[in-house]
Amino acid sequence: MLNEVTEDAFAACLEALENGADLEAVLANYPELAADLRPLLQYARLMHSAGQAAPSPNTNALRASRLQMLKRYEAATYRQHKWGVLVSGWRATAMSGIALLALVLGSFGIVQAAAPSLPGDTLYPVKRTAEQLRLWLSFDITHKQTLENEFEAERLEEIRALNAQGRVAPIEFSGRIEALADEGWQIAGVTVKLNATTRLEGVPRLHASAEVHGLLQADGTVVAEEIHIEEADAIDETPELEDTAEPTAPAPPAEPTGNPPPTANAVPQPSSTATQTALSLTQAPTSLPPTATLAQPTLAASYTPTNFATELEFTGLVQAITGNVWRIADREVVVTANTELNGNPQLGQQVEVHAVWESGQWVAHQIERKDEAPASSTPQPTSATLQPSHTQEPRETPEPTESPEPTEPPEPSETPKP
Amino acid sequence: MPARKELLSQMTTWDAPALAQLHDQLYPAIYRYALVRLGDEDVAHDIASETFLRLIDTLQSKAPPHTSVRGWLFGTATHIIGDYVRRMPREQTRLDDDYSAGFSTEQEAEEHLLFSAIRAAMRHLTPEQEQVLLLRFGNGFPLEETAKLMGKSVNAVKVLQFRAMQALRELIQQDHVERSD
Repeated sequence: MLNEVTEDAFAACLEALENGADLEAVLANYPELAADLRPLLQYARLMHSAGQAAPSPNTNALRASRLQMLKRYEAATYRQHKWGVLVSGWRATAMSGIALLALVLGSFGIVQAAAPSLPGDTLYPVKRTAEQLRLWLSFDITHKQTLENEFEAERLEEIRALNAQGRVAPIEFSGRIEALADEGWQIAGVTVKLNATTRLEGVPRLHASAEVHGLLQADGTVVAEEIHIEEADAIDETPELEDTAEPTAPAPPAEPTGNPPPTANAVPQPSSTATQTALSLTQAPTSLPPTATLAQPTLAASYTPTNFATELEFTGLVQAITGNVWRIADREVVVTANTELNGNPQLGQQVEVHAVWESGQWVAHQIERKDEAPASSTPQPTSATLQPSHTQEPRETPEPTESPEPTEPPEPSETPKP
Repeated sequence: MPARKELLSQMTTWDAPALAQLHDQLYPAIYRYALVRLGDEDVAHDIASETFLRLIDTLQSKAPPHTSVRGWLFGTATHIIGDYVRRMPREQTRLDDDYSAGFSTEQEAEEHLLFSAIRAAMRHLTPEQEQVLLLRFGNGFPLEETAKLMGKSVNAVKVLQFRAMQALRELIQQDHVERSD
């Protein structure tokens, strides 16, 4: 009974305190219970003060937590099928089954209902499944390509629609890399931000095609979970290379063109440098084994982007040197006055590169010659601009033999996995 | 902004935007709840984050929260805090209060010490007692709101908060006696 009285008194005192009353004035109403109530009310007041004094959560921590939660949600909800179908647990499986049935039985109601759905919506897996089915059922390559383009455009439309609603959702899309900046990349008009957990496959370069999986934020940017950058398409970029497969006599060095040489800080433009590289390889002596050309870049190098925006290590052939831009195993790195050049690396040689990502380009910190063979097959630079500015003149550029035997390119060295 | 019931409904239909919204609405309260209890901002962030991860896990289970998602979150946070405190050796329990440190008067310093003693004693309370104190006083929820969050009647919360406070007083007095011995 006494306890009940005290419980009620305690509750009443708390209410009075919450309404701004003074502790002593409140206790004065319960003189016989004051000794018992005082410490309890004091504890309550202290805890209340601590709660009031507690700072708001750190915004970055809140965002990180939200991202982590949505990643867990995404992992639980979506499993990417090897053909790109998004499967969302039993629900998505059921929905996919319904979509399949709808297509087979000719009842497109639910598929049509799913058409305007967006990532994160319940019917979205139906939409994606229906798309995949349309691809499977398309046997004409041109039509299939048209569909793929259509679906790619649809992914971007979905992002625009989600942006208009300010929604946060897991998304995926593909497109060309339009800008590479520390604060974010532009891919198909979408700002993509990378963080320490972003998985990066391929070497970032302007105009390359990239596939992005990530989380669309309310501000319209995408925090990338994974970015897959397609390797350079050798056939598209260097159609002439086929003609150089047969060893021929070396062409004389080309006259320097009227184009200004790249400046020290110029960011290489892949479209132009790719052409330039193709030219240099085409015109270069054919002592470069055919397998070392752009046609088989994966044989010439292995690389490991250890952490985005920080480091890259790879091994490969020096394919071209244009001013301060070296093309090594299809990757362009900028050589600066601070670059450590070990073993006098030259064109056509196997080198190991340690580069860092700075201001949208890979800057070489160290280039070390790995092949110890004499530089007898060093190709001639094709123009004066091909001479590296921070290295000596090539020690020897002997005449290539009439018909050098194509040799296998050196095996890529092992580099640690990220 | 959708009502919480609506959010709960969207959440159980696996809607990512609803989850993100729910997170952003309730993260600060869960964070503050843990911070008042433990006094360490980093740990409080970890506990708040883990609470929401467990929410995702439980959505896949056979028993997702059906009534009050807020109540579920605070209850889960209480358990995570309990696990955290149990794993810590007693002597490593953080007693200082970073965010209110810097006392200008003797009374402030004494109150700080007393609050540290309250925190240390709370590890011996039952999870329900700990929860009611943190909700009512640490987070400032009124009786009715606390009752909803805990799935209890208002009277039950009145009794619970009183008994929790009494237990706390006994623990603090006992600790004080032990220290002076």
